[in-house]
Amino acid sequence: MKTSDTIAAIATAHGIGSIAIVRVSGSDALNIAKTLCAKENFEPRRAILSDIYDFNKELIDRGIVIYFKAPFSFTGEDIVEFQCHGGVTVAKMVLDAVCEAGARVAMPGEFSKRAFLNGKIDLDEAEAIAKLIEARSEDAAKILARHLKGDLKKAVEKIREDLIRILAYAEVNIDYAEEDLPQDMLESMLFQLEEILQNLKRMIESSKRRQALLDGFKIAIIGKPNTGKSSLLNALLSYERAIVSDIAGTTRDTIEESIKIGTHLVRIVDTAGIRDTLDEIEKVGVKRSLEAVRQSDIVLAMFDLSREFDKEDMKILEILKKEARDKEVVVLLNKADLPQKSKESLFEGYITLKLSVKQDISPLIDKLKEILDSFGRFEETILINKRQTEAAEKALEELLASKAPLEENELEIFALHINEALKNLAMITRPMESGELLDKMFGEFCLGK
Amino acid sequence: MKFDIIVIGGGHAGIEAALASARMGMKTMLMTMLVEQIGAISCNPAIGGLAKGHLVKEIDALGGQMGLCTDAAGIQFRILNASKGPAVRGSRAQIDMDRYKNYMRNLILNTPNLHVIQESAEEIVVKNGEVAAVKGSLQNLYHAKKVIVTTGTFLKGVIHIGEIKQEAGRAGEFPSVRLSDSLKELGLEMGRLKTGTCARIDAKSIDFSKMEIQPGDENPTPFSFRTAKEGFAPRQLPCYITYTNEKTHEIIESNFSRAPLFTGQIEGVGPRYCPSIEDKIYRFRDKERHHIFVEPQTFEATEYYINGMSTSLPPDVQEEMIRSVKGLEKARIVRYGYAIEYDYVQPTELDHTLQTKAIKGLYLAGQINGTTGYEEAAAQGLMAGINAVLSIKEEEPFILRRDEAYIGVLIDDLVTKGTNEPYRMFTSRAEFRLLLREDNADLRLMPYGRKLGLIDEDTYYKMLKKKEEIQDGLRILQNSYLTPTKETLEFLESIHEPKITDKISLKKLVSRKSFDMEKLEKAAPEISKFSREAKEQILIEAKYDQYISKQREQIEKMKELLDLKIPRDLDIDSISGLSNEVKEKLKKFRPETLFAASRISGVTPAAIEILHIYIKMKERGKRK
Repeated sequence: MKTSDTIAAIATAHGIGSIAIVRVSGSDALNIAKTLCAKENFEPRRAILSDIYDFNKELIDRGIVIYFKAPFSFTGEDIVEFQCHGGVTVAKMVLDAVCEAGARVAMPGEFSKRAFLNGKIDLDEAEAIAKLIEARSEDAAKILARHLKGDLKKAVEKIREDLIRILAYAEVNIDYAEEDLPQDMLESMLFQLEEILQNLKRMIESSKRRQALLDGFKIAIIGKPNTGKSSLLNALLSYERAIVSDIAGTTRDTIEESIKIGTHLVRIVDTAGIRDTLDEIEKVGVKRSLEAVRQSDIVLAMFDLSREFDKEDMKILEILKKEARDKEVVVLLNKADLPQKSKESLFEGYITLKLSVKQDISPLIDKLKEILDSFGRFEETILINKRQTEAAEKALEELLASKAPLEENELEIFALHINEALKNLAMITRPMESGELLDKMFGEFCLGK
Repeated sequence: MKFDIIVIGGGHAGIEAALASARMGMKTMLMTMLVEQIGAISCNPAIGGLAKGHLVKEIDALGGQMGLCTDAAGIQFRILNASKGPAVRGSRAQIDMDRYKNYMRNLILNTPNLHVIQESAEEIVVKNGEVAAVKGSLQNLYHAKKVIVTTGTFLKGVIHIGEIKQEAGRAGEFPSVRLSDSLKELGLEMGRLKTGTCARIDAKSIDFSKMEIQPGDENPTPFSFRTAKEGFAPRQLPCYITYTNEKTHEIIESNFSRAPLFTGQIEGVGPRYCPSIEDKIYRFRDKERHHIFVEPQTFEATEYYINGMSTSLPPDVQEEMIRSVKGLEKARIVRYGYAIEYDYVQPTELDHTLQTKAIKGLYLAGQINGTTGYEEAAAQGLMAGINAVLSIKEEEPFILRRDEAYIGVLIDDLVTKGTNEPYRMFTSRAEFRLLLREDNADLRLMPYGRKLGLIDEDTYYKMLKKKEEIQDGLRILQNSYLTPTKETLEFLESIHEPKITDKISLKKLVSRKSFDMEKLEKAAPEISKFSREAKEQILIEAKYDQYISKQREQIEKMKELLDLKIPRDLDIDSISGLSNEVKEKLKKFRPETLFAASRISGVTPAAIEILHIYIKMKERGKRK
């Protein structure tokens, strides 16, 4: 198969803070490098130090750039590698620039697949590539599913559904022109299109906002006052002395800290540092915990074993039950060194860790590493995000282009654009089946003689 | 008796199959239960419509008969969607059902190499996994190299009119029971579907003055590329439009308990695309009225077909409900409407030539494959006939791709996805809709028709001349540029076109929606001498230009996947990395190419990548 388009991905990140490689493969790779580095020529296989600019000619980084000329490269195609400083964040900016210059984000295992198809990889290794594609795709699906939850998922599903409906309207008008159809269908479609456009724009904006915050997975620590949240936070922050930044949270009620656990960068959504206001302590506390849980990927729920299980603890358990169903939850039973007054059986069904935060949190760190590893590699997450926004933006372009033909009643052209938009959205949700379109056509209108 | 090819059934599929086979030089036999009914119009007296018109034009371009017969038997011609884009216009004709049938029967009986026998086929005789003969109800044994089964609704057909059930293949005709058993015994997966038709009304009892009149087009255009356009002026009859009303709906609703569709008497799945009136009332209770098209069945117009009132309600209810409609107050029913249930073969049992995967030389075409519609049936019949011949001649099979023809879309959909309800064609099923137009079916397909020997030399050269003019015209437009000079701007004003500000090609200018034939001739006088058809094509191609080139890119991608054949001996179970769900699907549908696999729902893009790698592994392994 011809693999003429150019793909890009963040290839390796040796932990945070060191070097990350953005690898570009395909017929446009060299041109992209020329654009981004503002250089006329690259000598094959020679590492050069170069400034790397984004598409608006702003400097991103000064890094090593290497050009591998086809067929003498890993994939057998032209490859350019950008080795960037400053870790994943900079790599992400380079990836953005590369994509703006004409590449697209690679699909899971796509580099290896191209290498195999171009005869660069032995038959014996092919099976491993198939497995790699499967594993990466599964990871990608998992990560995508985790991103696409709550409001975002609802928004995407609604847009998809609305697109199929508006397409059904167009198709009914085309294939059942003879029928007694509502007079105002075109106006209704224009109205619907406008609404879909707004929703998609909003979705893209909010996912971009989210992406800015998404420099790592989020961990929320919840629990009633004096269960040891502050101590835990301090212990975590000092664990590897790797505080990347202190960024005040988006709301007055939370503070976020970035820390490194294993090779993962994580953000802790912390409710501990906030002073409780005098009145309505309980109410504010519950609200704050709720907020933290909703924003997070992992929830650390703390309980004090040395005190009686009370109403406030009960509230925390309720929050877990209602709000944390799709998240990883670790129940921390603190103060295990003191005489116990709470029963552990109350926490059945959760991963529980019994420890004393003040003495040793390494069991917790191990557990967190395990969970984070199961989430997939961080670079993968960035790629998936990128693929997701790329797809949504392409869908938006198609929708914008569909407006004029709709106004002109050129429904066959309108339908073409809507179909393309749906194909792009399929990268985020799932492809449209022809049955779905027919269901909508015949579900909404009484058609046929 | 020995034949090359036996066609079972004389409906729209059987006719095209038998004609193609005989015309391509094969000793052919058509077996039918009743010679009078060859080419019978069992349901509505019309050919074509949206997407179906496309099929008829394609059949015609390949040398099939349906278009020519429609032109000969047509009593009203219309282009649907005339105000919409050319890609979604569809031709439709009301036909004289008697004339249609007579034309086809006489043609069949007059065709050399084609022998007709009135005998019911009862058993497909298979030897060593290959078709050998057909056994008839008179115990005759007919040997053949290939057998094409086109039995329509006849396999174990059961008619329902209210509580009354009758075994029948069509009203008043015997069903085919033994043949269905024979197919099942051969191991084919079978199911049951339902379809239906409306009552026919005595013309004397209709008050047309109370209905809206719907005439044909003033300048009727023939279906066939082989019918001369000049002088095509058939006498046309009008149709009439009336509506159901609240009273009609009340009558129907109060008799739901007697409707076989709701009582469980009918088990087969019916077509959503042409629901019965009781189904419409049931599902759309809020709709105040439903259209009814009152259409003449013959040129003599003694009986009218009331399109939109398909039903299997009991006779007394049919009468009451019809008489509640304006203009039909005194209507007398000549033939009652009915529903029919019949056996079909799941089309995933077939390959793209419509040959069964299990039995070599056995082809199925038409309603037996789960489709509905005369046009869908005829298209399959033609393709099965052609491929059976090619197989005997040991030539490459004739398979149309999805980007080449609606026929390609139809067959690809059927054999890769199967169907659980009667399948009909829609323009939305064709992803390359802008390329697959009625108006260019000849350009797309006639070269194939010629190569197969089904299109005569004169017709072919006429098409080639048109094609040349189109190419020349588009080249002229592409290479002529306009700059915003004073003369240009004055010219544009003189033809009431908006100004240009930059240099643009004439092709780009012509692509404006406001551009018509007259303006084209003025803007490019060099091409004004071309034929009208060629100029029409030039306009359309220029208009769709940017989209067509985008679709061509997608076609290239599709072709790459189509070229990746999945080896029959690829052990799906041994592929690590495929989920069990995907493995089951691949084993069930047995896709022939990576493209076919990618169209199966539930087969993920990652699974396609993995399959791709395994196909290549197998290829390389062989090379070693």
